[in-house]
Amino acid sequence: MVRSAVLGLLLSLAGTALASTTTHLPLPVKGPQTVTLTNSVGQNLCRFLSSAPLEEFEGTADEISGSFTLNPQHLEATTGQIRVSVSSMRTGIARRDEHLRSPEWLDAERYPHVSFEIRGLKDVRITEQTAERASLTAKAVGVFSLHGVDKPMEVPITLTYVLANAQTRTRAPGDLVMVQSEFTISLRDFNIRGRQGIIGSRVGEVIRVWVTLYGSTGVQSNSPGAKP
Amino acid sequence: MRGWELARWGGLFLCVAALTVWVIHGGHIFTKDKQMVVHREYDPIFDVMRERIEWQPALRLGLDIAGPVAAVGFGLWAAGGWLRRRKKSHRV
Repeated sequence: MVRSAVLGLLLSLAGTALASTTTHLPLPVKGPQTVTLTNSVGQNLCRFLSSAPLEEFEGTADEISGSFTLNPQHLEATTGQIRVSVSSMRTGIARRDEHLRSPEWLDAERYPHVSFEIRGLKDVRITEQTAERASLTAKAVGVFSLHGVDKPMEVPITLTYVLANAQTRTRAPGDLVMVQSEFTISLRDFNIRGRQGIIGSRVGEVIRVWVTLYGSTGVQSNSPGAKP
Repeated sequence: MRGWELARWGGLFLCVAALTVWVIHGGHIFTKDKQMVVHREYDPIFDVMRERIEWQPALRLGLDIAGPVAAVGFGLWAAGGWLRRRKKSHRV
């Protein structure tokens, strides 16, 4: 009886320790840093690919704004929000772009942004470190909002943090950060139905997404939705 | 009848030309008015190859336009051939 109680206590302690894992950024950075996305560091870009039996097409969205706060002493506590403007989506066919924004698809008028609210990181692993740069992989845990539907999601990310130096100052003040991610979204999960018979034949049921974000700790945060 | 002969060969040319351009343009189903151009360059700050993407105006003929054009061309060629055979049989 006592033995099982002790075992239970140990297991719960181990679980708590795992949940509150803290990973440090192996760079001399003090205090939480707010990283604001800016195109002056690099082109903030979202690429997406739709694969369907009748057609495969690629598109982009380049009006991306947002910021996140990264605590170098506790990377798991990272929070923030990234927003992508639906009106900036391009697929190479003007008429298709109009359809994409129409009420049948993404309904840009009612839901002008696709957003991801970052509530934390998990499975953080430092993959590379030098005197001025560190890279890590992690899963960004948060809520993905598309077409008025909020869905909890875990998105794999690769984050590279570069300390400010003479070279980085040519792009933006402060430390620079690059985040890359690749994931898929199911249109059905976000209640996107399109015109009857199109999804599954001309538009893929699942859309593959690649995101590259660039930000700086020395840039003032923009108002929500503003193009950086 | 000479006009029909001209239309016949013109139709065949139109059909072959439309399909050739369609194949050269990538054999897509739908006509594109812009083309995605990816510029890749080394980024020494992040030590990665970074991409910059821009959409450039470019007509990429799809089957939605090339198909009907090729069909009209083929129709002209076929109709011309039929008229030719008809005329020959009338002579006999």
